[in-house]
Amino acid sequence: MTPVRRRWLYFAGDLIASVCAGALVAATTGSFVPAEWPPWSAMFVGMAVGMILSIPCWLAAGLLLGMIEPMLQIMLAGMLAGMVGTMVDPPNAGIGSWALAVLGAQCGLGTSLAVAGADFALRRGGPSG
Amino acid sequence: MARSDRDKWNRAAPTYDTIVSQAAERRWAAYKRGLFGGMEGLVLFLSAGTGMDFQFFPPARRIVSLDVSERMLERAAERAQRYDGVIELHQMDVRRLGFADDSFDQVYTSCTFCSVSDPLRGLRELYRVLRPGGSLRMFEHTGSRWFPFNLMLSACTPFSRRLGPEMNRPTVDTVREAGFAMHRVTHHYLDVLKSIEARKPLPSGGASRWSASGRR
Repeated sequence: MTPVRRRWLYFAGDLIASVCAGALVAATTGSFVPAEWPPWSAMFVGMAVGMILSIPCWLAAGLLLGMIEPMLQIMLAGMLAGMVGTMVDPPNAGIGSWALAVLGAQCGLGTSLAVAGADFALRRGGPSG
Repeated sequence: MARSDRDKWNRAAPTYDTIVSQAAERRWAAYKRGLFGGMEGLVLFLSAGTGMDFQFFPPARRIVSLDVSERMLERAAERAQRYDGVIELHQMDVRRLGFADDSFDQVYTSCTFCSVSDPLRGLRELYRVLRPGGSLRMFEHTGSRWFPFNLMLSACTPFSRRLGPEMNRPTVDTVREAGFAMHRVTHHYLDVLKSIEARKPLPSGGASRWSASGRR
């Protein structure tokens, strides 16, 4: 396999793992924070809970894709999805877990693309120290 | 020898290949093969681990390899036997190397200084045993300078250091602090996973191999 093809395959693997982790975390965190909590509290609790909930996801992805690269993406996706999951109050917003999962998946997709973009930009910068 | 380091890696040895190393080695194979392809002369390599890196060594080299954990070395011995060249294995702490000054032509490390307690002391020992003008080449993961990765890696470190590595080490700075002249840092993933190439300066500031043959 050519190095370029390998890189694309790993990119796809990391992306799929981040999307799945985002969906799972957002769907799970929806019920974590009571509706009466102020949004800022909900946001920070959601980030922390999302970060913790993402750990099993990146451990699982790490067995297939390597530990460090998926970890950074999935943890970031988890934090973002956790934030979304707690801030969108499902009963009042009239949406269910599946809708939250779709929102979380979008967080995972966005995170994965952003990290891949940052990686590309940093490596294109050439040697540094 | 740092008992906690040794115990930690002895505990990790039975599951290390499956849980930590196999997928990462597959992913990093091309980078490691490229870096280790420059081995020549008498080479010191650390850490041996379970010997997963030996597959990336060029054939017919003489390599001295260390690890702090005897359980890891038991597993590495089998892979060392399969290597088409000579790999000598030693149980040794990088902070107290049992080699004379200026013993080695090159020193290579692979994911080592994320785990060594007191990395500056370890790198100063590597500096001592490397001959003047000799090269230090490292494949390491480090902390990041960039938000939010720096915060995430720092948040992980209190937990990860109990099981194995620290995630936020400033290894490039530590290499400089140990006295090495930095040649090149190549990023492989963000600014976290990287190859570091440095050398031990000649005493009189004479021409090094790099300056004689241009930048590699």
